[in-house]
Amino acid sequence: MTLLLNTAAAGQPGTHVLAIGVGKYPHLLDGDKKLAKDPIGLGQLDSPPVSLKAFLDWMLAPAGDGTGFSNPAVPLASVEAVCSSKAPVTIDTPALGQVALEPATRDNIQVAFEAWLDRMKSHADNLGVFYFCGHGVMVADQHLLAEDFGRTAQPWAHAFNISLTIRAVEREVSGAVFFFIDSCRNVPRGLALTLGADPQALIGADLKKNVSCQHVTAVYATGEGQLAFAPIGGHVSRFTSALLRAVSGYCGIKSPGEPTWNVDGDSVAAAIRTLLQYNEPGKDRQVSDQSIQGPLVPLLRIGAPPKVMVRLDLAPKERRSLYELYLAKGANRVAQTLVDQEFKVDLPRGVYEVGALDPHGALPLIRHEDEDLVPPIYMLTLKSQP
Amino acid sequence: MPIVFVHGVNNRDGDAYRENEQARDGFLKEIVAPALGMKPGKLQVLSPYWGQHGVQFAWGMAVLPNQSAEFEAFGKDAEAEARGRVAGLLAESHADGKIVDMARKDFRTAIDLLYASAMAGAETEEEARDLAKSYELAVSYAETSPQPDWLADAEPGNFADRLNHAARASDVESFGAGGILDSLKEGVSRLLNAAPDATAGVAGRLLRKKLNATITRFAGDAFVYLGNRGTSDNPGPIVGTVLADLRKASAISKAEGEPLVVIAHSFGGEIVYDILTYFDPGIAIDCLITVGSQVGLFEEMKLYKVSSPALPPNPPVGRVVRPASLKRWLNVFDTNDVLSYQLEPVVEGVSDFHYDTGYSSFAAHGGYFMRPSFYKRMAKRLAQG
Repeated sequence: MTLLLNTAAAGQPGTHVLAIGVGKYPHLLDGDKKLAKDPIGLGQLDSPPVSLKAFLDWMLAPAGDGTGFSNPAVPLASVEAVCSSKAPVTIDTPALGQVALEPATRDNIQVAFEAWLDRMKSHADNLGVFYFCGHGVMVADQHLLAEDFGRTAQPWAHAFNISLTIRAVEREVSGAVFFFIDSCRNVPRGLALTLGADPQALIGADLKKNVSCQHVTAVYATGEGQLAFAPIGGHVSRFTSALLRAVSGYCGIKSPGEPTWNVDGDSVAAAIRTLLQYNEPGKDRQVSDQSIQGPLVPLLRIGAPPKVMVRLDLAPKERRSLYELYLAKGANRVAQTLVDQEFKVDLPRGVYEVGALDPHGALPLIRHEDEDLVPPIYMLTLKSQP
Repeated sequence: MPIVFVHGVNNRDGDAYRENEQARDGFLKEIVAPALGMKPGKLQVLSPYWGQHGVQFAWGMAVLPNQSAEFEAFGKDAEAEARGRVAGLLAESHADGKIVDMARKDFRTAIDLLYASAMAGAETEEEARDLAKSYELAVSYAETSPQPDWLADAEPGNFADRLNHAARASDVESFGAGGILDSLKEGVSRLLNAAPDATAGVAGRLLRKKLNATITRFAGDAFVYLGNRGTSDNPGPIVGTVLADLRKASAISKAEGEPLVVIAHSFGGEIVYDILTYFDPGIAIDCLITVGSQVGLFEEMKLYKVSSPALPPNPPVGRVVRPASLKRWLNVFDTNDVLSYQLEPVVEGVSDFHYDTGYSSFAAHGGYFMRPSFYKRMAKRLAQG
């Protein structure tokens, strides 16, 4: 219910954003109100307010400088957000200065959603973005928990069914909608075995209506039955980090005949998956999931080619400092010479020669021609044979 | 490192701790292995099953006075069986299912009972290992917080949530709860649901019928073993089954340069002793743990292959020598367990340890491996070297 931006022009398509962050759950573990009868193991979260703020800062950054939302065909028209956090969350806005966000209770989420949906319906080519970061669970459908979850004996009255909400939105709007759902999708057995634990959608899906929207992308932070994570101590979550990295110049496809690169549902979802995989070796693996329907519609139109995060290494590690690691494309060549560390560099996408050479000529040359560097990341460990 | 687990008499596929083999292996790997300085995933547990070579009753125990139902079943599915085990656990230990009330009186015991109940339904070794890891955290938490504030207003519905939340240590924040909580909540649910069964006597009837059949099969298995154990040149099927896994484990132990630990429950102790003194005295075992065993009793009765009335020459002062290939021998007994015996008075170089299963009379005999605290105690003893 906190409108951070509203620059919609009558008769013009625009991008309308609804962002929800829930870190404070008074009725869950370590909360400051009466504990829910069954808290399903859930407690307070530090990351969602931080992740939400990072997302909103990116959305509200000036368009065109490569660090924020940019889509001249459907410019940013409105941004609405609610957030529950131990400390108030304030957002720097271009027109209103610092604005404190209202809490993400179920009622506030409902009101904010309906206002967002009305704005979405105001033009057939509008583009919508729905972002959520907080607790989630699933059985057949995925449910997202509002701040007041557990306040009453009917705890699920304070959650909402995002799966059915998406199906409903598909029938309510004409433009394209992107959902980014940063929450867990594990299946608590207690929930699965509880009759009546059926959170409502934010709007009912009228199945008499055909699907009307041009395109829907839904990217979920994790796979079915899996957990989503954030670094401990109030940092941006893994999923939101990957999302913001992907849309900050690390994915996109050239628009034929135009000087722009389009970031659509396919490219952003693939980039998020790849970045999550790169970030998370080890036990708490998190791989995103996605659903993409309809013809692709650009979420972003950016004026620079996407970059590739290059991570070039050499094995065995003892030989790294004996080599020059390089990437070359035509006359452009970047290199790291005689340094005992991984070579990290950002490069435009393209086909490169990638290799390692010994400046003194003692060790064998390692060379891979025609390596296709595709956003968001290229990783290779060159092998120096004995 | 290999551990060989040799079961005792009265074990048939389908019996309580045979069904819980995966749970037992999980606790051995996560609690005992680290105490021995090894990674849980590297521990290999070999469990030779010799029950199929035990006694067969031609008339299906028709001679029992109450043979109408050898075992009373709580149901056919896995959860019903788990609930049945928990009902037995409650009845045997004289505990009720009021986990929160128990926690307020004795937090550590409540944790042990909760994890025993959760463990009763463990379906995979992975789940058991996760439970074992979670149990370690819960016990550490209880040591530092023997009576946490949250217990005052805890309820059965959120006891597991609060324990798990307070005890867990994580380097990441997750936007949901992990699977271990489900296992614990099912443990609480089993305790709550099994309590009426236990107090209404269903478990009691189960126990009485089991007791009668169990004693019968115990004696039968022992007679079959003694009659058919064979010779060192031609070992009988029970000895052959156990010997094969002991030799396999010995080979792993030598190849990896890791110690070989053998855990023998009940009559399994007698089998291992017979093997180490007669069938294959060359198998080097770093530590043998006999649990609820009768090794000393059988030596008193001079029933082993190498038993001799002349050895030792001066009982009760003298003792028989520990098998030469055995470096260390711990013998665990429970005074409530009418089938467990001390060993120190009969064999030299053995350490007897008392463990209270919390069960009564005959029920204590099978109770050791259902209690997570047993693994913890075992690990501590092993780590003491």
